[in-house]
Amino acid sequence: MEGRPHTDLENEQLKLEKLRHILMSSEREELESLRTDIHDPIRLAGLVDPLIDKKIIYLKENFPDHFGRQVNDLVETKIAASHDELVTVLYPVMGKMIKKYIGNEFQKLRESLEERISQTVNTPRRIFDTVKAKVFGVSESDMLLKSIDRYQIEEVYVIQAGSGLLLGSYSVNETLDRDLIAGMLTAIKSFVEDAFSRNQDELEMIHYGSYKLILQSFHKYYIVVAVSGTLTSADQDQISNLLLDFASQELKKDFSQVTSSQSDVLSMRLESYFSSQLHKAK
Amino acid sequence: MISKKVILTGSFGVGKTSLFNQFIYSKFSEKYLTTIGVKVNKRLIEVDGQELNILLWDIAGEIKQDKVPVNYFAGAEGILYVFDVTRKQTYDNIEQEIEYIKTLIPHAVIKIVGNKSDLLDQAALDALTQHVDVPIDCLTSAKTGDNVEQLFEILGRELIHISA
Repeated sequence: MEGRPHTDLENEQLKLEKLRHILMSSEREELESLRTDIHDPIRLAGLVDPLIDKKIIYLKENFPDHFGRQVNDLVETKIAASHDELVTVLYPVMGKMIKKYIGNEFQKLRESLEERISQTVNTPRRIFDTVKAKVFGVSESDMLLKSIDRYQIEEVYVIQAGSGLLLGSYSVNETLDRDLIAGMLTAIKSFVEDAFSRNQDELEMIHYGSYKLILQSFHKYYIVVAVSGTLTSADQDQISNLLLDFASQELKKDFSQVTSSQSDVLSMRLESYFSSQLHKAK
Repeated sequence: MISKKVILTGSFGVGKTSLFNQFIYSKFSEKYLTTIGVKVNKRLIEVDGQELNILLWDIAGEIKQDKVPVNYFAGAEGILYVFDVTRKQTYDNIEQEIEYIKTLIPHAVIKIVGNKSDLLDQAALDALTQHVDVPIDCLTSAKTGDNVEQLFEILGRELIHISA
């Protein structure tokens, strides 16, 4: 091959190659320098970092314009997917906030009452309340609040244990069908006691809004008292005593058979007993 | 007037709730039971001149110890065990389930009810008695209302009879 003289074409190509070598030497050097920059991390960082920093600053300033919609969509999707978890986390926090708010509002009410009390004329009742407040060492507004916020017995049901049949009832207002209330209360009681029957415990209270249902169990029946207003532990104790007294006086019969005549008699007794007891309490 | 607790029970999807609604409201309904698995309603009926207040407990699902609170059966004097005449699996274990119910409430009046009778012809209904291990007391259709009133009348008569 070496001995063979170059053809014209080959000579042309060699000349072109030499020319390219001469003309592109500076570009080649530049390319080499770029290669070195790219393969050396420190040198590359020195070149690129300022550009990235600049871009980050730009994005920080203009983030909402570029990604606002996507972020909003993502947050909405996440909130929708984690609804239950969010509620679980927020519930106690909201509870505390509401409690604090109510506490503040109560304080405002108390202050307003005190102001109004101080403006009222000296009626015999006012003089009596003032003396009573001084004797017992409490503020008049506290006494007034207590009297406003006193609990009230709304309904009383005597229900046969197990079957849920209504033995008798007393209600201040007209309510739903009492047989059905007795049945569903028994179903709820049975469900709770069956689900959590660790120590033969019994369901003793159900809270519903401003209502409380106090359940007192006896051997063959149980009594449910629906109470509205504020119920202190002393009040609960008082109601419990009322129920025990009533049971010992009026519920000695055998209630194996539930008849309407028996139920009517018991309902009348409940009414007379609880209305008179409540008058006494007031 | 006397009051009695009656329980509707049986496998899932046999039409207990439809029977319940047919008896209580006299119309076919697809409503479901409440969260605690039981719905209570009542109806006053008159049998042989005697008024009977039936408190009907519609219990959801199977009569297995681990699925339905045992307390739901407490104090019941009547049981309507409902099965679906078109589905064998709803009456396959009927004998054992009735025995189980008897251990919970030994003195209750139990009626075996084949529901959805509107879906079978008379010949198929007649043949059914040979396939079910216990005597069938009544064939009903909650959809058409067929035999529903009669079922409660039969049960009511027995409940009054045992109270006398």
